[in-house]
Amino acid sequence: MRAVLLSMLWTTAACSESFLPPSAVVDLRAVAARVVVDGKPGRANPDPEDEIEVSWLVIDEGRLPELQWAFVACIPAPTRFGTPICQDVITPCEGCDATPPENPLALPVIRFQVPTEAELEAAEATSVLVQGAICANGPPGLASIDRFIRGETDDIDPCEDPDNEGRFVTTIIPIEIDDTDPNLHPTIADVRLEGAPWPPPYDQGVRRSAPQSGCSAEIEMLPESDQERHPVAGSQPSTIGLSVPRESLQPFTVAGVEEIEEIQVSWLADGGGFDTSFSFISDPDFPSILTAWRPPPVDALPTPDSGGLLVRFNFVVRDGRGGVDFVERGLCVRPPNGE
Amino acid sequence: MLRWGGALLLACVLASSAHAQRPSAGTDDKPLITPPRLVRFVEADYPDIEGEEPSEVAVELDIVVGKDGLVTKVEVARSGGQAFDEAAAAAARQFVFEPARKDWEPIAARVRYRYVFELAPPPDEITTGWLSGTVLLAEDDSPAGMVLIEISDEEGELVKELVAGPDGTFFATDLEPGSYEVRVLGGEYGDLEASEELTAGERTQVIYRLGAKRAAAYKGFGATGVVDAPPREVIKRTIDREELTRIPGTRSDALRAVELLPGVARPPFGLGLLIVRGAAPQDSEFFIDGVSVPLIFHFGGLTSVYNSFLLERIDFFPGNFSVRYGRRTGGILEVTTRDPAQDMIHGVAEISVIDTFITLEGPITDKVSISGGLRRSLLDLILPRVLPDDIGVRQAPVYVDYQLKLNFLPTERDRVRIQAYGSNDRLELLLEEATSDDPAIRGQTQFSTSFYNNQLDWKRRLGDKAEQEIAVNVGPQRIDLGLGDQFRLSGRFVQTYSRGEWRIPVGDRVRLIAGLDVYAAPIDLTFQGPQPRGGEGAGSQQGSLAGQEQVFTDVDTTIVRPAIYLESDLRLDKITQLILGLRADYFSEIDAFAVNPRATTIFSVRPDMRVKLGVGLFSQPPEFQESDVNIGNPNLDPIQAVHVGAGWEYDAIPAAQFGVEGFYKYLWDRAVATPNGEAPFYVTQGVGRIYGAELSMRVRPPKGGRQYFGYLSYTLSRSERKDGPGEPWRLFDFDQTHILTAAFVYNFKRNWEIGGTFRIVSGNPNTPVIDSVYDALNDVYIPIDGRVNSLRNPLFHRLDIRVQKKWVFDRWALALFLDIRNAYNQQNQEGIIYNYDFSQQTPLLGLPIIPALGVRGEL
Repeated sequence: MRAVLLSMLWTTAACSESFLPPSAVVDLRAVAARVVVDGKPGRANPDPEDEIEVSWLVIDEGRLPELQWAFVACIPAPTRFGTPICQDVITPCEGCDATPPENPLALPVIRFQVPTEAELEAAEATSVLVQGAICANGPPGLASIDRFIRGETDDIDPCEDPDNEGRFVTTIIPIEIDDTDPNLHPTIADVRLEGAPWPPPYDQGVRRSAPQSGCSAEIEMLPESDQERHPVAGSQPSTIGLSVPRESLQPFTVAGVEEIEEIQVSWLADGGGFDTSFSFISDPDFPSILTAWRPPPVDALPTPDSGGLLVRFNFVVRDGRGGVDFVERGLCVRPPNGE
Repeated sequence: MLRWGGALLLACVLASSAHAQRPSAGTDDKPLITPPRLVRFVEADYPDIEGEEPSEVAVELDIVVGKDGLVTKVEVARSGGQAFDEAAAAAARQFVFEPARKDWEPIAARVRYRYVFELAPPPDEITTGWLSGTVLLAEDDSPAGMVLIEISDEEGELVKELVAGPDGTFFATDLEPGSYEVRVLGGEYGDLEASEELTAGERTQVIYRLGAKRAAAYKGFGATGVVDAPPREVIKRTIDREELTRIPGTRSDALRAVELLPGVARPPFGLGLLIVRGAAPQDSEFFIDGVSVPLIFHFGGLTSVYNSFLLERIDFFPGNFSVRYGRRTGGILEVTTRDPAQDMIHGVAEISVIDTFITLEGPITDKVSISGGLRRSLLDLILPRVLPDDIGVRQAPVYVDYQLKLNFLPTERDRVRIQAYGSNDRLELLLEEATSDDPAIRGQTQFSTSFYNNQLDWKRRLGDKAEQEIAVNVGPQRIDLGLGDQFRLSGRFVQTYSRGEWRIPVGDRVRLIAGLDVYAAPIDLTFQGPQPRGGEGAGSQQGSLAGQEQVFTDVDTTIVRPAIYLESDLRLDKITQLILGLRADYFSEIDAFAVNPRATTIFSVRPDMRVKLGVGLFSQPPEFQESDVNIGNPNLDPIQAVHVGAGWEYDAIPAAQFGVEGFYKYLWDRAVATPNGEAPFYVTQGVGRIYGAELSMRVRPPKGGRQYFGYLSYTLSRSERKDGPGEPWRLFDFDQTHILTAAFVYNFKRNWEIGGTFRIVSGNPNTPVIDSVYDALNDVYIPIDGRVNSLRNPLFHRLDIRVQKKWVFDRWALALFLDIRNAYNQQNQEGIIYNYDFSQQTPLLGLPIIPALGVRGEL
């Protein structure tokens, strides 16, 4: 109870603080992990003994740097709060070691087999756990990761070089409890800007190598009507809409009670600002949500002659039970008055 | 001409606390007893008798003086004749005494008084008259000082001019019989004129009151509390009724004044937590008239739940308390309510920006009196206008409390008190969006608590010496706390609490107190939320509720905690008093017994100096969440503590009392949460140690009165915990090394009252967050705590000011007050706020300047 009261107090007190919200991407961030179960398309939660692939969506302000990572897949200890703790390590785990990826632009991906039902039951586990670190421009700090996983709090840094950006990441992967009605990943059906389809050229994502400045050159080739859909710095907020299929809000049963999933939407952008960092889609009859995004001000542009500012958007949806989907979009924020 | 003569013959002091006792050889045998002192003598009428009037007649009376100083019984010990006996007894019943005291506590006592009737010789014939009197200020009956008085005859000729003394008294002699005009030149209070008729050989006594249209009759409350509080503790601190509502920074709230006492730590944000000598808030307990209450403040510290104007006093036992109290290892705060007024109807009504209340009290018959109070907050009129639009207010914060008390004196031996009091707090917010940092905090936030105590207290004198007191309380309680879908606590209880206590003197030197008390509570409670962590030492607790495993428990049980206790108060010699006590408790929720022996020795080294030593064991059951079968461990043991204390008290001068106390406490079998909440969730492996010293000074006018009062206290202490074998010692969550508090209130002329309270306190420890882990399933960051309580907030300091102006009218008074908390708007740090991924931090600041303006009427 005390924790809740303190949370309320802290939350209330924090209202007036000027921290950047989670929706503002200003440094290296892991923002989602997605599980793919071999031979079971769409499944979010594996069964025991399934082969699974886990990948992480990692973003940064502007261009994403080269990444290296190290993970441990394990059966978790039966803890109830704090950082999860590994009980039994799962081996082998492809991609878990700190070997630099062959493709320097690769995103973190690992593969391993879920333990047997008997092993999970013996450990009182209803999930498997992946813990580790993701680092930019260098290897992770294996010794400090080891200390972190063992629950020590002294001298921990995710990366071998403390000057490199890095993140400790923990991912709980629930084991499917109802194989006849398994949990499936939600999907993002559509993302719209001002009620219309997202304008090109970033309507299917943004090239990882695309520079943050100079995007005006890319949109100059578009029809004028499409160019004008890219916002001007300091202009009025734009409305962004996101919808999921009705089926993404799956019914499920907990302790004999019928529930329907609620889709949590995380809004992320490396420029401008959202009204809120999180939204929720709760009604299967209206499976969409709107939010407002304010373009960055004029002084946020690199220089007047840099040719606009490319803002990367990432939208992540979660069903709260392990299912996840994400998409990336981009907008070129133009200087005012055609500068 | 008759005149009277009297002589007080203190033959013996016979009684101790509330017990009339038989005479002994003399007062020298009982140096701890201060005999009653006659403060108001009433002259008896010389009776009409047949025959020759004797020149001197003596009547010896045995007078029983109550703890309130009033005469409760008069018996003739040696007769002077029926007529003289009756006249003397009638006069003696109107005497008023300063009550006898036993170790500073007022006690009932019996005194032998020799009343002498003398037939004085007739005086020589006198041809002139006298005019004497006092000039007072009408608003508060204080002396007007050295005002000029002009006395003129019927022709208007000034015959005498004189100046009153500093105490307002004057005396004009040798005035011819006749009519006079008296003019008092009162300066800013205006002039006063009166006609007086003087007679030869007589003195005319007058009282003039400046500054009022009529004589001021307002005297304040006349009720008197009759409550036993045996002085069995090494340290007991008491705040008297006169001071309860006048301390700056408390907004006239008596319970807030407790924070000024030595040994009491400052709770963050002014939350109503009682942190006593390094003990966790849940280790201390609140009582109202001997019955435990679940909460004492509305909304965590805003206002206390019992109206301060209906209180008699507050007793605070910071440690080594009597076996009368149990189930706690920290301190005890006992609130004693005031008996309703028996002289006439009184009342108070107040309105401020926070709340409004009214109290009324008065006699129904000569044996029955009644009082009541009702308060309601006004926040619901303000808050919806200042909250952001995306926070929908379904139920603005509202609190209500009520008090109803009936006093009944069916016989001379019995006193029955029936009272009902309760409190209800309610708040509901609807957060339309998740907060920017935490997706879990959204939806409906609800906070609702209530309790309704119904209490019967029957006190009866058994024979001449023994006494019994029976108290029974039944009180439904309710709590509902919710935070979106992530947390919900809903509980219904019916607290029944009963106590029977018998106080029996055994000979002259021993008094026994035997008692039993039973706490029983049927509980129907459901909890859904994250696994509760330890009540103390749980680290930063900054993580999001999202991602924390939800646990659930549904409790439908009855907790029964019976206890018996026995205490003996032995007077070994004329300076040494030894108090031995034994208490045995049973806690049904963990099926465990506890036996607690306690001992206290009081050495009255000199009449103005006492030394006290105490040692004792104290036991406490685990908290609900710690012993619950689903989220806790029902196999826990009671928490144990040993208290060792030593105190020295010195009444250096009549206006000041000094005290020094040292204390040491060791705790063991503390329930501590297992790492990361692994089963069995709690184990009794925690220990603790607390040690320190307290210095205190209390100042008041040497001759009593209300002109000023002040407190100065300093506490130096250290409170540490160890959460398991091999774990390092760490600081307690609210360890405050230095606590310095100074409070002073002065009542100026014309009823201006100004006071201030200043505190300097070490900052509370805090636990830094050194890193975080991204939880990809829930899209939140889990903080990684550094060493628990390894940092400390900066020094806290704050000044509170209170200004009050009171106007006293004929039968009522009006007060306008301004209470300013944090007068110079110091930005004290209470903690640290982190951003969503704990990579940035900023100080969490405490409450800013808070002025509260109010007006109060008193009948």
